[in-house]
Amino acid sequence: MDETIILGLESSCDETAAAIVRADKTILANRVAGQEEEHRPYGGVVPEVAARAHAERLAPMVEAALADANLRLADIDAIAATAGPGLIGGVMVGLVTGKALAVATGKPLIAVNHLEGHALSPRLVGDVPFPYLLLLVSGGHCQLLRVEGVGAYRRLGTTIDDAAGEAFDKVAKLLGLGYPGGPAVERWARRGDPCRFDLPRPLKGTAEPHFSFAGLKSAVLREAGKLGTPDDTDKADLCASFQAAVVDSILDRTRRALDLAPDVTALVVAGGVAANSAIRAGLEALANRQGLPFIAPPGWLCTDNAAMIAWAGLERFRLGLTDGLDAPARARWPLDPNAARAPGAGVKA
Amino acid sequence: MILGIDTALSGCSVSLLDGSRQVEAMFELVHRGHAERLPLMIATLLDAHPAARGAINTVAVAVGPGSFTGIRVGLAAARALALAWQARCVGVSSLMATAAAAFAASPDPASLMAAIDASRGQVYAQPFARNDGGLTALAAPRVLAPEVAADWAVAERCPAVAGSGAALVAAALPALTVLPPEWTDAGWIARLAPYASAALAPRALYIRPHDARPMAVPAA
Repeated sequence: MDETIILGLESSCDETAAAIVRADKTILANRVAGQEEEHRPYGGVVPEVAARAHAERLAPMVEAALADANLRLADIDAIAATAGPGLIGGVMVGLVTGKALAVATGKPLIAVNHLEGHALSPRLVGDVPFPYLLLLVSGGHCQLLRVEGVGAYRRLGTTIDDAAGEAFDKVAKLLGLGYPGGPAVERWARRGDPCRFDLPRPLKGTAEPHFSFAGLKSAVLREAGKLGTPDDTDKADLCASFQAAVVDSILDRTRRALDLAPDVTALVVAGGVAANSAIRAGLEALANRQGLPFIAPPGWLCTDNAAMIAWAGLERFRLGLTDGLDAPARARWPLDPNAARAPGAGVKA
Repeated sequence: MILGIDTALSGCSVSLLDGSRQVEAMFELVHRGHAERLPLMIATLLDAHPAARGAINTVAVAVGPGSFTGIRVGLAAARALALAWQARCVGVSSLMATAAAAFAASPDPASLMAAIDASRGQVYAQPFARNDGGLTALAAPRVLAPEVAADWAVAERCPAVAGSGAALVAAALPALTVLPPEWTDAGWIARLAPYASAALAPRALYIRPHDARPMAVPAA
């Protein structure tokens, strides 16, 4: 039996995390510390604040994970660390920590693409054969990918401007709903009327399954402006209408991607925005209509964590894919390097 | 044995001390790319001194002030190595390492100002006095304009200034003597680590706060 054990490190955005995963899919330790308190005064993630917090917390978190698993570093077979994409200061803290642990112990290093961590995460909690269609929705990404194997991705669609999670955060900010914005918008939306405001569904019906959320966010801003000082009902209705537009857009784009990838075995959603229950419910209904299994990893595996990094590291390690100590930290690192630039894509896409 | 690490400034360096004897020292002026270079240097050092693996009981690291990113690269590496080897992890100020190296290289001045270029027209500065073969900080470190640092040097009776910001301070007051070194290195970080007056917690000494400003509280 394969009893390989991998230590995973994650520090690419505002979660500091360390986890230990065994090849039989047992999660021996899974520590995550968010930085919401540090970033709240600024209304969003500040890269330098995040990097400072990662540098303080990561080493003690590795010790805590080892204690949770009742293991010593000598029991670990390889060290997997997120090497990007993400906020470079934080990525460096995690990657250098991983490299130093590898040097000190003589164990191999695996420089993991954070997006591959999300992409392979469903295989940590279930048996999901390749190829599958992945909707990756988070604060930094919104992509549809045909996952063909470890390290093999075909990008079918991406956002040409904001990520879905970014749109949630911006709407929360402009309505003064607090930080983090995604869960706040979802909470307000539950009490609101999704039909009150007629908001656009950008790119709906277009041939390539790309996304756009910047115009939708601006439309919310305009409606909020017309209201002057929105009361609680207005805010709830705006949130509900906005969320309905996002769900509509995501379902239309995902349906289109399924047309382009008819051989997939499942529809999988991952990333922080996958925690949104309206999006989950819509995708599940879509998968049912298409006769496909719908797989959404549990919430704790959708938001940033190190268990998915350890797991992606394990999948790579099994294929002999390890990295040198000079592996670069990368702010940008597309899963499908051959994907053409999306038409009309802005600088962030 | 003590392993020294310094990536806080433009140099990337590692050193190995056996008691007070330096058995290895590597230094490269890299300016950036510490995260790619440092782990390889540590691996090279350990390959050259295999016995060090079981013998290093202290990992000493430069904690700044300097490049925010560089400081964190060194700290992340040092804390991870110390964790893996169950060694002590000690931070050493880059200003004190500058002053110690300058006193060692120049026998004359009884006191001097260590100054590190902080960019944006500022320096990190701190005055030090020589004593009993060692050195003492005369005040806490500050980040300030070179002219203000020059006035401070005069007030603290420092005739000389050393470090990557020394030329900036001396340009404001040419009467100040510029002493080497320009850069710190891991040798001095390791040498200072055993002294209680030099040993700091392994935490970044940023001195300059980050730039983010809290947003206005939204109207309720």
